Amino acid sequence: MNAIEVSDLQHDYVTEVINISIGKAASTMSELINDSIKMSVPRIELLPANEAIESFVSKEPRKLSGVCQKFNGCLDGEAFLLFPEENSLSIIKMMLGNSVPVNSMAELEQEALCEIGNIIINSVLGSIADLFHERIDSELPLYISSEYNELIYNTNPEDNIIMMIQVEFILESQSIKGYVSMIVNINSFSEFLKALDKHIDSF
Amino acid sequence: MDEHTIFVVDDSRVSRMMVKSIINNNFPDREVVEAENGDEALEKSASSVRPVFIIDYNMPGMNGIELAGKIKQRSQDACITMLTANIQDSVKNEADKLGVRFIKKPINEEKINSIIVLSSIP
Repeated sequence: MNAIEVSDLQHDYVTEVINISIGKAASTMSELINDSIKMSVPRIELLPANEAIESFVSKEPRKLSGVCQKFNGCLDGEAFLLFPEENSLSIIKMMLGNSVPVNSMAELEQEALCEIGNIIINSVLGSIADLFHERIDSELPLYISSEYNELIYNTNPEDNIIMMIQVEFILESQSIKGYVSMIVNINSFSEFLKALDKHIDSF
Repeated sequence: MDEHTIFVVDDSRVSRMMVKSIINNNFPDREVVEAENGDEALEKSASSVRPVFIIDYNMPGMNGIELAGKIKQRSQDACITMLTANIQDSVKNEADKLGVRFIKKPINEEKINSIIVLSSIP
């Protein structure tokens, strides 16, 4: 599938970069919904599409609601913030509190999810960009409602390496799980590894 | 439009609602005007005296920095705060160069209150 070789050192460093980024995103998420968040250690794998899907769906088979956001810059790809569909309205209620009438919440569900996704995904991307003193631009967030395999196949996986960055987070008061996933363009990932090597060499 | 009208510019209706709700609750005497993109913000604020802007960065059409630049060209003493999810140093540096305050989302009462209070200081 892929011709990219990733050394142990590179994998370790990418994992650390993502750890830091996700940590900052967790803090932001906690502030957003006024709840404590537990986050898993990010799992980072380079996988073909079918393995990525199998890996995810074996743990989370439910239909998902969330946000997709394309990005480009020192890294090109798509990022997803996903929740089981049955939980998405609860997330929004936690975010909006009393600032929006209860009878408007369902109507605003998609927009509210887009805003949450925008904040969390940009938190992750921004941290990655700043660590390398580079820039990543993101497009506007899009609402999605789908099963995981459809999401992956819609990203033209043959052109991409599936850099699965899977983080599970749990909102403590409500036991809701959510996921961040990133799909990275194979050529851009190759360039990213070169930038990573320069960065490591500078220490 | 009165002096110090507050223009909330964000393509997210939810964000605009949250900001407006906080301002209406805590500063009920202030007029709030919403815009969902830069062109609409420029048009609606054209005749405003000493407007205050709360602007998102990532919007369709011109982004928040581009909008801030156009506002500053029109009125050097316009009070502009960028309230955004895009927290990268590169964007913050662009905001600093324009003399634009930079506040990270998520939106909360404390952040909005600080924006309004600071904008009232001559």
